[in-house]
Amino acid sequence: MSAYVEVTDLRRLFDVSKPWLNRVIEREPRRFLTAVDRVGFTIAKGETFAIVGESGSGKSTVARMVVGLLPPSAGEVLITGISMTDPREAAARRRLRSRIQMIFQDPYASMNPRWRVGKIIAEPIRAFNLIQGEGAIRARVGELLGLVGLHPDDSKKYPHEFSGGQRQRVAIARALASQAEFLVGDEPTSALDVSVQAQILNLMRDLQDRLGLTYLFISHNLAVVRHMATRVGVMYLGRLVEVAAAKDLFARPRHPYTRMLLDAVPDLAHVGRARVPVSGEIPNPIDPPPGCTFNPRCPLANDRCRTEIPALLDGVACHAVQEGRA
Amino acid sequence: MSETILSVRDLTVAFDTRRGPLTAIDRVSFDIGRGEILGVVGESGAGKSVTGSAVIGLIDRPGRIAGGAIHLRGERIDNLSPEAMRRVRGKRIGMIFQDPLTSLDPLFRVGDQIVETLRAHTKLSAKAARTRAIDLLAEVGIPAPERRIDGYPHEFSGGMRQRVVIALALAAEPELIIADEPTTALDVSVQAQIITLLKRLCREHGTAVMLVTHDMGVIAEAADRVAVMYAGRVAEIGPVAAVVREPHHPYAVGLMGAIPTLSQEADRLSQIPGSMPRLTAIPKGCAFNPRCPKVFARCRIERPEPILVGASRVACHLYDVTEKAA
Amino acid sequence: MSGRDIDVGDAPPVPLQVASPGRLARWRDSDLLASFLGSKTAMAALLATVLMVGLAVAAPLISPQNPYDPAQLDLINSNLPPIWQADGQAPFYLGTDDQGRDVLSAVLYGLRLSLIVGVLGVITSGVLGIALGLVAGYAGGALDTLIMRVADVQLTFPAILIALVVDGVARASFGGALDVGPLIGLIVISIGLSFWVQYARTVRSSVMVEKGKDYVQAARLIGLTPPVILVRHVLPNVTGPVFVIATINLALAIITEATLSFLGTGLPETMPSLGTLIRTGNRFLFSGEWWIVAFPGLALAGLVIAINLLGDWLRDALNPKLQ
Repeated sequence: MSAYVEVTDLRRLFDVSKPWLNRVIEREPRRFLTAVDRVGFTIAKGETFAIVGESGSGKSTVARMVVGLLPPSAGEVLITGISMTDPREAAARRRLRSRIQMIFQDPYASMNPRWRVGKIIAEPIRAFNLIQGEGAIRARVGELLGLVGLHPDDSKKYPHEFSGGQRQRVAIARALASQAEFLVGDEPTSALDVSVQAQILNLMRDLQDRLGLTYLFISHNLAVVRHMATRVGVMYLGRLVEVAAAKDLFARPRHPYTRMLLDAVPDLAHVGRARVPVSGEIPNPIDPPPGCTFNPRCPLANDRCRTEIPALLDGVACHAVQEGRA
Repeated sequence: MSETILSVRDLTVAFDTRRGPLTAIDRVSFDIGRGEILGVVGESGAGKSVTGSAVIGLIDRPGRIAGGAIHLRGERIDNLSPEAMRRVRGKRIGMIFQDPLTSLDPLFRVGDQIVETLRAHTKLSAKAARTRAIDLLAEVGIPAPERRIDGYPHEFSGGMRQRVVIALALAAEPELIIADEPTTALDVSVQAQIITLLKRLCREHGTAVMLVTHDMGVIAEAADRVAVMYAGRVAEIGPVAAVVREPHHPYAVGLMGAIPTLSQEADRLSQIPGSMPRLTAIPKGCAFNPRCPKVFARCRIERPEPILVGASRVACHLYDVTEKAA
Repeated sequence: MSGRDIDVGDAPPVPLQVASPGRLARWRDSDLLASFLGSKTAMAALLATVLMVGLAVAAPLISPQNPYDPAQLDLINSNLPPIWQADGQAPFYLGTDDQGRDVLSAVLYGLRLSLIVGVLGVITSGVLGIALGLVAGYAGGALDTLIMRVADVQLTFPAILIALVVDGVARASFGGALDVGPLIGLIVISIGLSFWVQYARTVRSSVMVEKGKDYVQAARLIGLTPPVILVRHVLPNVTGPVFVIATINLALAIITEATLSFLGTGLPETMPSLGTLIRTGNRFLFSGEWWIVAFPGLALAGLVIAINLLGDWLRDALNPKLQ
């Protein structure tokens, strides 16, 4: 099966320098934060690839580069073989545009509060000129609302009249309005209550089955990722440290960070469990440790880990695993 | 259960609006014993935070305690003057909030803030208070406390800040700690550290803890008993293992099933239809009745009172023996 | 855990079908209206403003005299005191000036001119400021720096000074003999150039907040261009504060026009605004004809105070955090 999405050596720096005048006066150089560092993965058509990581891992930055909201500093994103960055492929990209949509974390901020829901959902249809005629557009909006479990008459309401979960349904309807086949969800349920989260996760899986959607699912919640993903990439401080099929990753985590994370998550099954405390916190991404960025917290770190960045080989970026020490 | 520290009986909190009073908390009762952690869990709008605010006397206008009684070690505290309540708050009830930055004054060294609290509530000399502050910082796991005591809050990481807040809450040796979402703003790997710390300290100091959170995983690991709140009422309260593994109230059953877990893979999460009612439209009878899969006529008319089922108390007509006999 | 951030539940009850109230019902139920009905000051201010605007609009119908028409003036009627004084004469209820011009009519027509110039000035400064603020906030970078530095520099000069400079330069280049129409245009432009900074700053900061929101990202994802996104999505969401500034600036613009006229660079004596009336009336203050300056002065003060109170209330009502 050929890859639907192909991401190679993706890199993104953010300029975190002080303003020019301060730099000149205080004689400070420009400073850059490497939010994403040489990240590469592929997503097959119809699968759910999840990227999981804690704050500062760069997972949302990857999502924004994949959909084209943020230009990468280096590297390439190919979707159905079309580059999302190469200016020579702008025309082809415009046609691709309608097939890629995003579901955002905060359903309160992802919709224009002054528009009625019907207009919000119709906007992509109008922007891509998919359907002509007001009546036909209205019918399509009603159909989309039904698809996500709302009533066609809900199109007359404003976003603030809906609950968080219902709003996320509207956001999904809008994403599907342009006949999208690839949806990128950036923490789509982390602003929702658990009972509502279950509704949205179930809906996303149902829609995937019915419409053959491909998902890139970004989350910090391992349990949600386990529920949704076919394959999982684990990010730590801008780097992909492990990529594996979901079943394998949760049954046999290989990277020491993945193991630590799986051990640390508070879980329903752990009632009254006495846990092994995990040491340390995530370092400041402006000034990451040299070598493997996880080395200060890693029980297996040695001198090589403190100097040499491990490459992602056979799905895991860890010297200890590659040397057979783990 | 050991000695009761906090006893809340029929607590009712109303918010006066220009469309009439809204009942945010409706006849909530629970006890917390010495060294015990009571988890208060619920989705947004369940009233869990308001319950915490009511206990520490921080209900601001237009809110007011409209009924019931709160006793701290047998002494009634819900009708104290603001001045007397302020003393109780510092000395006998400690507080831990979600965002450590709001609890720490950014302009003061963390040591000075702890010393200030110590000297306000104990008879320690300045020197003794500083020694005690260093001990406290060491106790909450701050490395090199004799050096870090002179640091400012912004020099600490998120997890370390929350540790300082815990030290601050423990400083006056309170009988009760109210922790409102203490781990929500932290990364998962750090969450586990804070939960472990909170559990250990309460056991050692014999402090009663009211742990308010939306995260059932945190409750499962930290709490001894748990109260599940819905629409301002306690739906079920009991030992954490019983409520998590064998919930009785249909809402608790739905909630537990809706939470994805790491340990088992479910194809679909069980979902509760609809969402939490607004305070302006709490259904008659059992507040959960419109969403309940087991609803029957009585649920729509009569509000269920808590009934002892096994080790838990459940507010549900299903468990009323007279109902079954009829 | 303060009681203030109580979550009143974000969800309607189970039946998804809740009738969406119409626009009128939503307005009737809104907090803005409740706040308005709860504030006697706001109601009085609105009443006064509406009354003055009504008088200004109806000036040609209700004035005893057209003060711009020299043929209607008669020197026999000059320097009459208000009607309640010994020498007062109908229909000159508020007296007349040295030309025999009816003070009441002059005040009504002056109110009209002051309001026209003020409203046009506010529109000009608003359009200029909103446009520049939108561009600065959305584009960022060098363009943002350029626009905002110009704004900073402009803020260091008093608005009246800028208006005087614009006015002076224009008069010098057109040779001083301007018709009333172009003259009003000139004053409007002077006011527009003096007051745009506040709009630009407010809009820019709102835009910087809004453009980070996901609905703008969603609009980018479907390939909308920045101008379309700005006008269709961002602009409607930054208008709240603009209305407050516009109301308060209307009072300022009216005062600025009055000041310009008072200083002699505004509207001429043949077509007096409230400011011109005060300037001309000033000459008679010491010879006992107090009414020539007092009534235009009272009208100006009343108008400005009413509009200001209205603006203050609007600011508080739209921004509960300030209370």
